[in-house]
Amino acid sequence: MIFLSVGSALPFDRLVEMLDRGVESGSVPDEVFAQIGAGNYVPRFMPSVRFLQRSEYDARFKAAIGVISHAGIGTIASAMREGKPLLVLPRDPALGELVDDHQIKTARMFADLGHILMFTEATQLAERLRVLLRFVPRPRRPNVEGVARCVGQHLYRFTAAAEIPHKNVPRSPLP
Amino acid sequence: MVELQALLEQSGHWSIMPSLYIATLAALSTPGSDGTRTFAIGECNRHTPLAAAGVLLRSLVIAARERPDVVVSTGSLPLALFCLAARLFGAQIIWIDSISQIDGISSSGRLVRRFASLFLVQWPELAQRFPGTRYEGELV
Repeated sequence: MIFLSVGSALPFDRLVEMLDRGVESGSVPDEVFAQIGAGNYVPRFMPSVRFLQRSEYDARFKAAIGVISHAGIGTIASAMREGKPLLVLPRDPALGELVDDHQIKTARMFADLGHILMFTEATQLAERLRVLLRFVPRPRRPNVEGVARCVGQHLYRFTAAAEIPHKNVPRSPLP
Repeated sequence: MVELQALLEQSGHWSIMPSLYIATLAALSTPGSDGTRTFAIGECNRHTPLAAAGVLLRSLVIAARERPDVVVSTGSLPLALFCLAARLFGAQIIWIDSISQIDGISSSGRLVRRFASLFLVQWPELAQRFPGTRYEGELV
């Protein structure tokens, strides 16, 4: 199964319709299950739901042989963690799909580093899908621990400071 | 959200644990599955000012009631508005701009940068370009 996910915040009819037409024409090499969010286009040739609870989303994600999505960092991060082949169509601000072009830049950057695949036109979909099924994403090594340690130092400082008046103010003995 | 989850998985480095989670939609509030309370403040972006006003109002109510000491957030605009509300009630703000911000700081980050106590970016070049921001590594 290929898992199509467009996120929960915004509709992405362009991608959903593209995939549905691909399934109809037989250019999609496997079955698709779609999470379509708040979109108006309802797929006719693939099963779909609007939203998935986190646990079900994770199960679908893990079971898929490949994932297709917008270039949301959440989906990209999930794909990195799972080592899942991911193909993204970045949301285009010129089409009103997002307020700015950060998805285009994100997609390009992660694609250039070999972590994901991307496409921008419907005509590229069939070829990209064939590549997706053989794609081995390059692993990424983020420094979550370093960031967590830095945040932890500040948490300690801020909360310790916040607690001083309650804990460390010497109390004068009762008369 | 995923970046924050990645961070939370390393929260063993922290002296304290979050006592409250803020999410945009109730359906996304899985961090609270450990029993920690979660509040949903709603979605908005810079093109939906009415929704943003609603988010800010809900944030002010929650911040006034809960009075957090520290808020840790990776964005986006709804959470930036919560940071603003919490700051008004005395919270320290730790902001981590998303790794999807490659050649600048997010618009919500630009808002929060004015009052954040710690502002992390996930690309070293950004920390050099924007004074007051720091690079300590990536969450994704």
